[in-house]
Amino acid sequence: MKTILKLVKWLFVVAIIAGVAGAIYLHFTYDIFGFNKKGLVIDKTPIIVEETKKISELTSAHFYEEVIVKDEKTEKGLIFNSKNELVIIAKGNVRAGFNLSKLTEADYNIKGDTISFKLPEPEIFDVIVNPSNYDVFVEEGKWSHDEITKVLGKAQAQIKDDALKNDILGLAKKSGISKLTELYKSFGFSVVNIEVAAETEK
Amino acid sequence: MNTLLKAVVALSIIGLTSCDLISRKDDPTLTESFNNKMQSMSSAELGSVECKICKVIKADDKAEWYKFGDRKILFECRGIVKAGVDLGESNSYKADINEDAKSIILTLPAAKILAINLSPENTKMVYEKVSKTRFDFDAVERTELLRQGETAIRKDISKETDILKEAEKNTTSFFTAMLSQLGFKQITIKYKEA
Repeated sequence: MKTILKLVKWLFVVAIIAGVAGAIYLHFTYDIFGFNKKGLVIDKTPIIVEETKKISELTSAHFYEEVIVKDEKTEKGLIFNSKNELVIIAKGNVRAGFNLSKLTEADYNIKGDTISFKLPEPEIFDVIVNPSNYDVFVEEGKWSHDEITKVLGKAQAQIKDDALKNDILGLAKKSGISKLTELYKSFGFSVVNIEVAAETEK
Repeated sequence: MNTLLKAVVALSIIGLTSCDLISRKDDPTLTESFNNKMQSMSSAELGSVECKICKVIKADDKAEWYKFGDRKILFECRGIVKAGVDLGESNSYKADINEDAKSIILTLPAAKILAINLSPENTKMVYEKVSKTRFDFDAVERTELLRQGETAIRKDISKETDILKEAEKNTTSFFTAMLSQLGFKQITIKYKEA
């Protein structure tokens, strides 16, 4: 009985030593504790400007939202299939306003100190979800870059939809008219009449 | 023997729990986060230039004495950067008018970067090489590298390109055209110091 107990004790000690050695090996080889990931830095590369365009966009409204998008897939294993989940928390910024390059001289009607003109209908300029705006909260199994891109696309679409549902174009219209009225008044006009083209006039 | 048995059982329970095999409860943090946070704000940013940019984001996780094998990854990141003037802040611009001479001096805020849009669908992973002794880059690592790329773009865009000069040039031409349509004969556009 004593010999068996001694043997079990020794096996236990050997198992612990093997476990520690294994953990050290896995750390140095596979970085299972993630110490080396923190040190990963990108190389310095230049920014290439491919195209420059003149624009006249008056962004008069912003919509910010944090959404959670999920996806899951089943991966076949040797014995069991595993259900892998991906959860991303994404923060988006939607910019909307008026494209003032559509305004021409003919659109202005000036009589004394009164100016009247019609703005084109407000539009969404950008739906921004940059890498600094999202976090991978849960990543089970392997998810490729393209799969992540697809999920982020879903987040972008949801943020744009919510911006429209929360009447970002209405806010852009109201805020744009107010800011332009203020601007034209500073140019010496006492009456500023601004209309916005209806969607049907597009 | 009893103590040994208890120790083995305790260790097994700790091991199984940490492996998430015994219980798999819903993450409370995740459930709470599902309440979307949203906010709308008005602004008055006049964007006058749009640049389509491209940046290669690459990282080389080299082999060290404690790491066997290396990992390399390369992204091609395309984005849109918009610059112009922010007219939304109070007293951001000032117009000095001489009605008799039909002249105007318009002082505007200095041009700045208004938006950087690095849309996910325009970021392609073009190369990835991982030694068999190393793990693949996971989504968290890839995101971290892309974030570093975005930070570098934010930091270097106005130094490496003439985007802000171009924005001021286009803003000047926009206001000159607008003010001449309004009947001003002498138009001067100035910018505040950044």
